[in-house]
Amino acid sequence: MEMVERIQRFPAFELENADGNVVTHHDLPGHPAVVYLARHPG
Amino acid sequence: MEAVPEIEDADARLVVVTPQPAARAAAWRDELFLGKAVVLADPERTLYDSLRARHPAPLWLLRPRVAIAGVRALMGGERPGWTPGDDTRQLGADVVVDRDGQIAYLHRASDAADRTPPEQLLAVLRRLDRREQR
Repeated sequence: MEMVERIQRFPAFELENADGNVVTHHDLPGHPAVVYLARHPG
Repeated sequence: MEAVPEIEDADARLVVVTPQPAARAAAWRDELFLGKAVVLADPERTLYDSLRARHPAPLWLLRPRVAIAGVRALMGGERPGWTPGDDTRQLGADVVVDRDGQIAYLHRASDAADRTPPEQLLAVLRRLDRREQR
């Protein structure tokens, strides 16, 4: 396990979801989240 | 992604981020049956850079576990895909975030086979839940 050192807060973001709608970091709080950053599938 | 039901049962959100455009993200969501997961497209890799996700060491494709992971991914329905501008060497990361947006766990993959076992992510969620109940 790699413990968090300097990054303590999930970074701000503004990204499109799979439906083309914009999702931001403001949409995350309220529930815990597992964020899976996928590797490139190539 | 086999832990999707358990993650949702823990009242947590699953957020899947791909370093590819939204069109690929939609295809990926459908291919992998990601349920209620929020699937985000990050073709500029802003989150990857912010979280300092890694790139593999030289000759990484020669690692047996990487080859095995590739075969498993193909058998699991994942299809290789490439769009112009992609960084095909981009590796992933696993993050657990609490209700307030604080990172409780962060693992940056060192190769394509290096992912956090689902039970370990679920253990972090359970620990968060116990902490919030105090």
